[in-house]
Amino acid sequence: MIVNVNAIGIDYTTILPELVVTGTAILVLILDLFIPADRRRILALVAILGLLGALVASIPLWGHNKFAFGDTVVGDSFAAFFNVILALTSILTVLISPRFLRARQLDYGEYYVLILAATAGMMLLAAATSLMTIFLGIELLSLALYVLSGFARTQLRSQESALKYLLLGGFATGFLLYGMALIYGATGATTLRGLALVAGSPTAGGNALLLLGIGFLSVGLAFKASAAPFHMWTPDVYEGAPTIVTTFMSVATKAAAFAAVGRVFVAVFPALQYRWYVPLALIAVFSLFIGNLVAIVQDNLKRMLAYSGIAHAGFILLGVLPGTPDGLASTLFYIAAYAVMNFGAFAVVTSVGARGEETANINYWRGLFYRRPFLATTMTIFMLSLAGIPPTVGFFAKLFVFRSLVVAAQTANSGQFWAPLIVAIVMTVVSFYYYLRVVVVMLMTPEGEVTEREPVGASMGTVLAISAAATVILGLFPGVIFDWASTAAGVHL
Amino acid sequence: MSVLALLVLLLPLAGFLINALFGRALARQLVGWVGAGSVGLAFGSALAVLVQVAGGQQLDHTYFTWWNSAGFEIPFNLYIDPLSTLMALVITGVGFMIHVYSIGYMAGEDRGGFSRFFAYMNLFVFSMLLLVLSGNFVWLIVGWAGVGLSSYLLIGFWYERTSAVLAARKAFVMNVIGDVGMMFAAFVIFLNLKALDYGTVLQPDRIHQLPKGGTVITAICLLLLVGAVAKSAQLPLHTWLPDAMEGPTPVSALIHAATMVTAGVYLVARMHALYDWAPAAAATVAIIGAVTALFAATIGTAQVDIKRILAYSTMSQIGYMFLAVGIGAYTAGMFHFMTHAFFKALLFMAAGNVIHAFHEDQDIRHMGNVRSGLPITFWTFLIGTLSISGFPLMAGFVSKDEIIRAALTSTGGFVLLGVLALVTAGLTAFYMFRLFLTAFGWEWLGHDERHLHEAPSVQTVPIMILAAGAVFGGAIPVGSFLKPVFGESPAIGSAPFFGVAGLSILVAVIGFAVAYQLYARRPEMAAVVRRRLGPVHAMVEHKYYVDELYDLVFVRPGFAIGRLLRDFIEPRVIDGLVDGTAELFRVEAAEFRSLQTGRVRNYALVTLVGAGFIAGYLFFFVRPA
Repeated sequence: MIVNVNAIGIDYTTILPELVVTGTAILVLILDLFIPADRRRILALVAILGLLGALVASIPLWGHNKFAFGDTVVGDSFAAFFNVILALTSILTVLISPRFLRARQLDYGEYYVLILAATAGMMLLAAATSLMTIFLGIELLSLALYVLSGFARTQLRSQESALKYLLLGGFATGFLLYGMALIYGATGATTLRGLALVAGSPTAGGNALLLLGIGFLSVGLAFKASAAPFHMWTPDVYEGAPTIVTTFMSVATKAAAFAAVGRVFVAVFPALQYRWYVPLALIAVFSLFIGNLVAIVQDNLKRMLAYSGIAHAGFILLGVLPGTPDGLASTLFYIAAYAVMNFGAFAVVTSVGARGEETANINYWRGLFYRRPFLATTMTIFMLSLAGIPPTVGFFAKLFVFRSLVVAAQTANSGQFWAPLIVAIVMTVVSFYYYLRVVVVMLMTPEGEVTEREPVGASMGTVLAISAAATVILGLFPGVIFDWASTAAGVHL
Repeated sequence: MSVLALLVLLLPLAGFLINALFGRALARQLVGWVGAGSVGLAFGSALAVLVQVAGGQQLDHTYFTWWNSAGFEIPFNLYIDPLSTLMALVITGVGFMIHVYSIGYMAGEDRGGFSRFFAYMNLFVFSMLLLVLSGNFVWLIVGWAGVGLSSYLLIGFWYERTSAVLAARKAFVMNVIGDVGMMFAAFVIFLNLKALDYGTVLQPDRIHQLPKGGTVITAICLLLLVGAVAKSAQLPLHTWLPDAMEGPTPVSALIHAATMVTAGVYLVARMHALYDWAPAAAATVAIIGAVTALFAATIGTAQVDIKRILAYSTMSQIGYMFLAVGIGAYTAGMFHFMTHAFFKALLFMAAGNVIHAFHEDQDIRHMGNVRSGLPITFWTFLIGTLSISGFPLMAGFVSKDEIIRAALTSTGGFVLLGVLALVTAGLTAFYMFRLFLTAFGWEWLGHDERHLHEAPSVQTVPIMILAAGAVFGGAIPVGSFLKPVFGESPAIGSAPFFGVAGLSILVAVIGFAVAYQLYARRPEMAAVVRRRLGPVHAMVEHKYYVDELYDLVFVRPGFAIGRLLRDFIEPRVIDGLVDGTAELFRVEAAEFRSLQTGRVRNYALVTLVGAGFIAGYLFFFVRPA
């Protein structure tokens, strides 16, 4: 068989952000060989510069719809939207990493390489328009994260979390691959363009093989997004992994997974919405129930935030359910909002736990307002936002998602959207309990002698101030991001 | 001009932010001058705006769109016309004087209290400016609520005092009643006119689509009036204003002169296109104003607390303004608003000096002989008294006379309201001179050994400047300045000036003469009169028992219901339900949690079951379409 290379459409500008990040990863790996151990900050700097480069390289993609490499990747607003979120998350993570790593004697150059590799995988996932590239992206990010979870090599919990993540991740990837194989078997196509053509035909809704493939595909993606009932790994891994890795993982992985969910379900299979609606709605409702309910009884903040992350996966998924660009826009807005507030919340946990992991226990947080007012104030903002109380961005995130369901119910004139909406509203109320509990605990007088008075540090202070300010400012002026999200949600194949 | 207008608004906000965030770290001097200076600069910007507005320019500028969803758009726009310019000038100008005065008056506060005070004051001015400059109802209500909040903070400034906290709470509750009215007004406006910005809503063509005097337009105007009445302390939502005296005296000056209580007058004037189309609502405004004017003036005759007398005089004067805007004499109302700002700020600040000199004693019967110790305060207070009493050629005379003239010459039953206003004018002269003669005292009432000290010049200079306003403010051509907004006022000018003016001078002189007889010449006669009047005097002294009535009708039943809820409904019903629900969730949560065994094989099993369900659903329940 003769391959016509030009017909494939090699266009490196489409994947320039991914290339820049990958290149930076390789550069950091090589530099690490030559840089003395006490100057590893330089690696962080290089990583940040590379990520900034990727950020800039993403901007020209905005407004375009450039397919390349045989329709396996695309450079469009959707990809650019996620690239910006992912790059910013990684930059913030790297900013607060050196101090955290040094305090735990984990200051190795590989850390930055792995973060960059994971970011490259996530960006690829956001740009992927073929089952193959989706798989490639997921594996790239997963492998890096498996290692990062076990990065605190000497700690048993960290090792345990890495192993659990690896085993369960492998299990879920099995479903993912099997789903892909079934879809290919049913349609003969691997590119999303090809799939969309087949899925649009009137007989697709009766194609059991295709539907089964879609079902297993959703299992694999839901696992990465830590949506119930495929969330079981989340609390253990979040708790065991170094907090800084959890911070990154909780935000970036979820965003990347939902990028794939959004593209596949809203852009490729909108015609089959009446088929995939029930399974996806069940996943969303399950996530809302399990995440919010179990979070109530958690005394460890990392575990609490893990369950809160599961709950938010449910909220984010709600916007996908109508299968319309309008709904997807609310999902994208939610992802951006979630990135800001959840990153901030975990960053505070990182900072409070600066001397050891046991500080994630809620009892340690008693009286934090009096010991470390800055941390406690920013944490309050993040908690209020996660709970969805105005004027924070979390309120509008929920509002837009709820609104998209109401609009969908009205336009489709169908009652099916009300059930998940009602569950979501009730569960929002439930969530107040565990978010506000953190605030209350921080205001209580501490028991016994706690003399912790560690400075926050310039980089952490900046990162927290930026996140908190963004949480409030985006809550006051949600219009800008929502406009972007609406543009990005108009995905074409 | 759009930049200048924004500056007027943002400078006090900047002052608030600086003092609120860094006030404790800054030097005292700096805190005071940031607080006063920001308002002063805002005044400068307002003057620059005035120059352009006087040149015939107007502005409705949208700075950004705050909210845009499904055709419901809320811009952030400022609406600059002669009316809002006049308001902004008085707010920032008189506000600046009060701020400067506060630097001296509040010098006794510790550093934290000092910066807190100026932060609140700046917030107050900012909220009021937002209220008057806003170009749509949303930001109007934001400013409206902001004024309520900052007054709450300032009235309760000395939060160690129970009475101050109670007064602050009372003011807040009363104001919130008004806020609710405003909100409902905005809802009804949006439902019927499909817009919330003045540019659209106040368009006569738009309003005239509704039937004149119909239910909708009358409802809108009456709901707005609820807000106006609460904020301006008119009947029946007036009881918070006298209690608001618990705040520091500059706060009283700010509330009574520059901000807050005038908001209601501004609101009716701003919405005049609506009120013109709802005659019944406009008449209600006029009646409330005239009755409040008389009501408050009578109470003022029997009080002994210097700040309370001034508070009732404010109620009474605002009543005049309501009367004016109610009968369509908008220019007269706004004119009186301006002159009132001058003399009322002056009276309060001078009273503050006296109170300081008498060691925080506010009872006028304990004062006296002020002239020897505090000459500047004495003479300026006299000027203020003359002005408010309506003595010829004083600013207060010119503006008040316009209102009385408009009322007496208007058609229909408003003439009766004009008579009420005339009677009130006499009472005003009486109670103000009663206050002046008793508190500031003539030497012949007896020699006074107390050594009183004049306030520092940072306190006296602002008062003297305002005194100039209280004398010459009547010469400011407010009427022609406001003509672009209200057009030609129909009522004024048709009556013989000297006839009506002579009448109002006459009643003022009678008021003065009676006060002079009773409190300067023959004080023993005052006691006799008091006894003669017996129950009437008691009723007036107790403010017509309105507080007691509200206590009986609202507060006590409220507490009774509260107790019922607390002792029975809450513990038995609500707690039972809530605790039960919480327990249910807890049990459920614990059950879910027990799934989290930490064993990988269990986790994999859950994943498998989940995947099985999805596959099962898609495979078995979905038949070919």
